[in-house]
Amino acid sequence: MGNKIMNNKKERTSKLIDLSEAISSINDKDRIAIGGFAIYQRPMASVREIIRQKIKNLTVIGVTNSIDTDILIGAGCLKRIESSYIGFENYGMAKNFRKSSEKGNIEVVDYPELISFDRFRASQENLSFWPSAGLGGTDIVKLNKEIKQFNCPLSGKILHAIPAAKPDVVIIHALAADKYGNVITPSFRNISQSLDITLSRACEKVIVTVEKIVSTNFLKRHPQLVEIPSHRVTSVSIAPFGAHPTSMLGRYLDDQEYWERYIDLSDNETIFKKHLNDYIYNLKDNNDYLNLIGGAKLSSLITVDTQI
Amino acid sequence: MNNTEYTLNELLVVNLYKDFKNGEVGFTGLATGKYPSLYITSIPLVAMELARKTHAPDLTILLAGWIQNPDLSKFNKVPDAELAEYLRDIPCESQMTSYPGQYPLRRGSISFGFGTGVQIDKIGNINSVCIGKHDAPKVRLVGPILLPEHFSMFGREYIMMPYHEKRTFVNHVDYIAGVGYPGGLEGRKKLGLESGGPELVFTPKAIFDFDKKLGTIKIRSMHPGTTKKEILESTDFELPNLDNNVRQSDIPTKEELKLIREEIDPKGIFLNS
Repeated sequence: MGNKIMNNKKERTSKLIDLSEAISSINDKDRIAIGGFAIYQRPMASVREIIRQKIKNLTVIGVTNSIDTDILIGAGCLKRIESSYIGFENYGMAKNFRKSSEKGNIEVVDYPELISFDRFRASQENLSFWPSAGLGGTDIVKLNKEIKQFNCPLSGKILHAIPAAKPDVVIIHALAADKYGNVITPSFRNISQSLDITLSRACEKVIVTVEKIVSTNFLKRHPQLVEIPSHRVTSVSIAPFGAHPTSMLGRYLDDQEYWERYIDLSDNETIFKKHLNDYIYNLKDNNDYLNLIGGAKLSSLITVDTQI
Repeated sequence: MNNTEYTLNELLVVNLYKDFKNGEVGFTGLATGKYPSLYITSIPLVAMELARKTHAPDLTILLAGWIQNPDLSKFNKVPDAELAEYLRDIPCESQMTSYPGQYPLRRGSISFGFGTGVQIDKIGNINSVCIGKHDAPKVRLVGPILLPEHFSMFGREYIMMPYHEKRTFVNHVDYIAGVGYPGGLEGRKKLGLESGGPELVFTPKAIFDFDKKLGTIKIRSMHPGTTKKEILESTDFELPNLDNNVRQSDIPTKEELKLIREEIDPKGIFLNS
């Protein structure tokens, strides 16, 4: 018995694969959770690859969403969005989202912001729902048949059962990982990064892109920063500036020029289609995209932080 | 501008800050657009700082849900993006960066907040989701965001409406994102809403409060220069107490103006935008 094992020693499995291969594991009609928060640190290289592979009829489950969702809607990849906010903060309204929902082309399920987060906590805890107080009288519960009112079995108070997020796939963009999928989250964090950690615990298919692959020895200098360990990660792919045009905390700022251009071009269907062709369909991968954005532009976005 | 002249923004600030109590925690978020941002971020920040410099030194300003007691003098623009890098670098007493759980919102740790929407109705419901029916609406907006929590989990909510018009002051909102007083306080209890709810409504023309027992909005004061006719023409619901006894909104004192202009907002970043 022992000898048999000794004769069959295996190498540890590398989870490092091309982004196109990683994204090809996403199916039409999947429920997808997109890392980041509002206009910050969205896994945009993965989003662009989803568009390139023409994956359709997806449902996005989010907390607050922005260009990650708007561009998927504009590219016809989405049939439904469950979120508390779809907008571009200081940059204004998400126009593809707005037009599609006004035409009735996508289904919009509104959830309050904290409760949108609770839905992932429910998934993390493997519960079918999360209990919530304070929703009575809102149109959120009136219009959503999946939310059920019940009385707290202990106090008798009125509560609502909020369905768990139940993503089929989670995509996140992080600073660095080793090839086994141990992901580093720098110590200065914000909502985006804490949410990413929760998302990684709420689903069995977790697709990660990183700025840099680092050695396991480097990573062992910072084990307390690895809150997304290898066994939670399905695959890891290299995608430098993979959050562009959104920002990555302590690494690069958002590309204001791109955002402003996007706001204009998402106003017009023909111009938006051309944009998708130029920036996604006619390009092979993230490297082509970075070349198109340009080295000088990307360099100008780099920022520094003293904390890791 | 001499010592006794004042702006509308300053008038709103001095009518707001008197309502805050020492030791409270005030939550202000961010909004998209110049006027919503002025009404739910700038005016509340200046009002809370004025309270801290006068009767409420222990009041906590919670900005954008993660920054506590920021140094307002260090801002070069009104904060307009919740997690922008420049906010990280504003000196403050505390940055809470895990989410949620950075503040026990649902235990009632927020005393008051500020909210706005495209519509408010006569029982204080607010709408930030859509105009028209929900599926294929006439206008789709950003979504409920944190408003449901504002109107049920905060101690009270100040509704800040930069546009006071018939299209924004309606009989029934098209989508209830934040719940007012359906059936008054008793009605709220039946819905499981045991605390919170709208407290005051601020507009460029007037200030409103609520008969919380009946669950109806009423006028509290009109700003100097506003006429009853103007209120009637810009409000789509009836205001039974709009009579000759409506008092005037408080006018800023010299001392209040001096603090606002010289100490709190010397660069005019918040109120002159």
